Amino acid sequence: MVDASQIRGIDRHVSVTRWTDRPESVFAPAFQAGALLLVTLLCLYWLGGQPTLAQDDPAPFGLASSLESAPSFEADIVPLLSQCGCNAAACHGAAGGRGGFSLSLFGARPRDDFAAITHAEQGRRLQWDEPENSLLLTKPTETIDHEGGMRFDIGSPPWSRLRDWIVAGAPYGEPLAIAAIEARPSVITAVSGSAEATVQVWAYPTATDFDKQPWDVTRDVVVEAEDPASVEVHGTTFRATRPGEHRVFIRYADKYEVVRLVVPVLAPSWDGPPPSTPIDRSIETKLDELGLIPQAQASRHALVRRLYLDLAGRLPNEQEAQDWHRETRPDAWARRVDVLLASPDFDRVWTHRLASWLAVDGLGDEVAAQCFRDWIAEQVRGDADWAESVGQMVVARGDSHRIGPAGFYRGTTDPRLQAERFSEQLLGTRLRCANCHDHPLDQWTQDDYHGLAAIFARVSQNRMVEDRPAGEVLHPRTQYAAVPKLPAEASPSADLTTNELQQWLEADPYANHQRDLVMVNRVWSVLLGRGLVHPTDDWRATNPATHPALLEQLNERFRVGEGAMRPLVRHVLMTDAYRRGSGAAGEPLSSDEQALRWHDRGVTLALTPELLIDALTQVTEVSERTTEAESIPRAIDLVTRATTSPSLTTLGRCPVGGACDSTASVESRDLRQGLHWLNGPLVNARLEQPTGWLMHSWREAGRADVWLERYLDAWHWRCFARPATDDERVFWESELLLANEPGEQVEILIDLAWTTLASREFWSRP
Amino acid sequence: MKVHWNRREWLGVGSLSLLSTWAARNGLGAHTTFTANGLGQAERTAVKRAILVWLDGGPTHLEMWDPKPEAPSEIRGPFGPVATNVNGIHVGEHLSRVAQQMDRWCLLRSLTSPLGEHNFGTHYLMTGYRPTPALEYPALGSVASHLRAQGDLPGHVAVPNFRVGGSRFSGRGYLPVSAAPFAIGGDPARPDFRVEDLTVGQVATLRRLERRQRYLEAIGESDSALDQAFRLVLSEEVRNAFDLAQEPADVRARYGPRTVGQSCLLARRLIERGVSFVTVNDPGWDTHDQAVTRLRDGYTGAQVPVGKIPSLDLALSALVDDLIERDLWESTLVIVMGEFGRTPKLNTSGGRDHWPRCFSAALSGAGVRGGQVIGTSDARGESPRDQPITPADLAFSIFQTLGIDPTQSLRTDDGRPIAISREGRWIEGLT
Repeated sequence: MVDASQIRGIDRHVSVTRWTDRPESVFAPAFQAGALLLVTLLCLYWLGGQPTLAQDDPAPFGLASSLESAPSFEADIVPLLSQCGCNAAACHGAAGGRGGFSLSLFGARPRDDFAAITHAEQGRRLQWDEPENSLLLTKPTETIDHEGGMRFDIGSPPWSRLRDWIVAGAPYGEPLAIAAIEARPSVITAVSGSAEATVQVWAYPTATDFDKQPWDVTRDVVVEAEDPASVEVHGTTFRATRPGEHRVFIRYADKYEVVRLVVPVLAPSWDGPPPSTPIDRSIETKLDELGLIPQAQASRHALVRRLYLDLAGRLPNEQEAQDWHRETRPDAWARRVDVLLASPDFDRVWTHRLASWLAVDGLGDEVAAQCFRDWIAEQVRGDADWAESVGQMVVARGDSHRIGPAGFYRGTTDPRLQAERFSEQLLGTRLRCANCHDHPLDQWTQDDYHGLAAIFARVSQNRMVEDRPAGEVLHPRTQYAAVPKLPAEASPSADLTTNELQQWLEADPYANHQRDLVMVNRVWSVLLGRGLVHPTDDWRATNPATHPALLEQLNERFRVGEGAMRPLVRHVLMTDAYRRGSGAAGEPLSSDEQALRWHDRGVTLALTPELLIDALTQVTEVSERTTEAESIPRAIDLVTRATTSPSLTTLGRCPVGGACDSTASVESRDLRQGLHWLNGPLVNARLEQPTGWLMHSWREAGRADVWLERYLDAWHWRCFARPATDDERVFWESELLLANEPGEQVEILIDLAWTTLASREFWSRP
Repeated sequence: MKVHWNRREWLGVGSLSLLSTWAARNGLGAHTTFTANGLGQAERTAVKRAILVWLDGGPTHLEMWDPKPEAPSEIRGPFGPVATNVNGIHVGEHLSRVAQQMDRWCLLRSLTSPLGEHNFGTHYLMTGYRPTPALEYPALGSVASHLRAQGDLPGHVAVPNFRVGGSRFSGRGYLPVSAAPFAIGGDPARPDFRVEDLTVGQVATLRRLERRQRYLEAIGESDSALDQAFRLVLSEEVRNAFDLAQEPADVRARYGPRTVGQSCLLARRLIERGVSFVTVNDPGWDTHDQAVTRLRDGYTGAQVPVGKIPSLDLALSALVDDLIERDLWESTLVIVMGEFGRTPKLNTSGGRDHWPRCFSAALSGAGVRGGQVIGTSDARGESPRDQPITPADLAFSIFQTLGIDPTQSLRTDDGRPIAISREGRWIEGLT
């Protein structure tokens, strides 16, 4: 079991504001200094990420105005515990609590917290006769020793509020029922280089509370910048000075809101041709906001290389590249796209991609893996509706050596890990944290996690994937068998099976939408270099899409195309955004990171290890050898890790089950890879191979000048989808013709060809 | 985008001339630049280097640096404590060799972190920053390499590899690829050990390698990774540095036959030749079950214990002795840590699960005051009792000890300055 305290995204890099608004301290100055030192040492650097107190309002800090009649634990006390960091993962919010005092993480379970404060340890945390001597007040003010240091001062607003609540008898009061919170303003755009504003936050009552008005909760919210290096946060005043779009998360109870701060990157506006598709309209609206200029289309040869790598998983061959250069028809692009969409190469490379998203290579049973993969290939070939394919996997039963989708159950034998695979692969949600605790800002709670695991516990995950009615998993909080439960549904039920899970995926508005969004986002990440949600398997409230409207738009297209891969891919391929060049030299340009987020220009990416090896195989006509010295026609066809080649490992094949997003920059080639390229067999053996293209052409030509005449352009067409440039021609001629002795000429030829293959142009997907 | 740090600050005039004489004597061509061999005494002490022995998976603090012999058996665990050569300090019984040189070691027993998952914990311990989707931070070794790499040898070498914390962490973070850890890709404990793709003549002769280098330059395609690859392959000295066979048999035996031992020996060879930072990656510390077998025996029915702890004990004690004998101890920091500790209570499988709230690390050399324990844990090893130390503090203090100002900023690709350590504080009493 994993310790509870890992949290992604919420409890880190947030600064601490301390309540010290009392003019006079009861402590002697020396003690104050000591306390301050402790605070600095303990709070800032040990506890590190504590939430920012949102309000510097010097006004009395009584009970929340929303509930004038009686104080409420949920409305008045829990937000305070969050603000002061008491229920953070590093403190009492840890799975086992801290110092014997346990709170739910960020107040996700207020009733448990209420019991912990008022009843646990015989109620020793509250003192009715002397409220001010309650542990709840003496600990955080460090009146007595507190491992977590001083959280607020005696007499400070939080102190007063807690005391007033104890004086009132520490009631639970009205539960807090809110539908949403809203920040005003929610978009802050820069004036003169920095975006700065103070926001107010309003809570909205649930629909059943007819007579209630929205109320101001600004002083109770917890604020956190996504990238604290870019945004300064003082209470609810934010300031961003770095160009780009920055996000600040505001949370209150279990609700959150995102405030965007926009600082234009380059010029404020620009005139150009209108966007040609609705997708491009969305993208360019964003570019306008950010002051980014959409760049012109990429060069012919870059475009065709990009197209073939993305759609066919290979380079265009000589003939295809030359045909493309001769094209003059206005619909040439669409025609070429359609030809590739209909080609077996499309099935092949997209099967490879889908199989890696479903972690087929992590299956220990090779027969099952092959069978699973064959089934995936069938789905791609037949343009299956993704919704249906998912459904088939979830309800698959039978011999996994014969029934492909049953392979979905063969990646692990632990139902908990199966629940994680389900949520990560199909719903893009990392469940791991929910194993140990709830995260109030995530869709998934601990009960969801174990409820889902309990459903999977009823499926045997051996070669025969069968129902196993007696299977169960232990719920770590209750220490009893977890009751099966559909994610985010209210009530568990002992009879739930994967059939109901499949129906849930079909019918639940969150589930089926999320299932599709995850696939759409993955397709986008392959074609544009980065997911709108990145990483593609880490969807959560605190990692929103860079462009949510665009994602929805794409998803509509996915549904119009009935959940098939091809229409969606085609739709993206027809956009201006897909076809953009990397920008004119000498112009001010966005950084690669910015361009990958907002698509004002194309970014040159490194080929994935599989595509790189396949490209080598293609241009040299010598295939890769595995560790067992068998040859593999194409690396993208490898099914499991049992078959691999040392080169594939060296080039950085994605670890098993790792959701590797293929966004490596071409500059990320490292020394180990450089060394392998230079001195390993990967490239050298291919060039020297007598039956390979290079040596074959050399024998055909017989002489250096003849080779240059006949094959120099061919080599460049093969490698770069273009003829040799004048400079390249001069260079090859001068080197090759200089040597007289044929043996030396061969060596020079190989070294020249090696240089081509070592170039960035060859390593990259433009 | 480079930091304004004097990369050659340590290279005095004397050593330069010494090196050029050496190079000339060995008839080396102009393309081969040497800086690494034969460091003089002054250089040895002026610049601090480091060997990080990374115990991947989360090493148990209770069986190693922080035994709890007084605690109930489900906390105490299967092993007992052993006295060290420093009065009052005990360590786990299978660290008996290290115990005898405890006056050279400083134990930190109050490390604390909120991150109990391998990827996150590894990122935090290795960089001093908690992970964020907004930016990957560089590992300690890559920062050192970036600021100090010189010559042909890479500044940050990983032995035998850098597959840490579940392999999602590249190590270089936002720094240029030249700062990435160079994984040697071979097991130093194997008789046929060699660094992959380093042997000349394997494919191409020196003459052809030089030609290729010239061609790449001619077409404007020279690239730092390939450039460095050329220098590595063409350098005799580099090949020597990696050649463990040059070590006498008794030296090799001292370190023990396991990968961790021979990796530490290789680390010493590399440090000796000027590599700034070596990460020895020792996997297998994620001991959720069968702790006795994994930690002590190595395999069921072993006559001589060859598990994780005895193998590490051999490696560390030999490394420190060897560094001392070679006058390298004063200038080399040895860091022993992993991403978190293990649950104080044994689980039902006879192992311990992840426990980041309180764990230990050990440091030796480079001016760190030995024979002391900094920070204590509570009676069950659950929480720090005093002087809690965060991974950020540890990173800060490691940089400070290595003579790298942790408050200076490095720049990302798009030019934003990032402090080497933002949250860290100096660990009082360390030196």
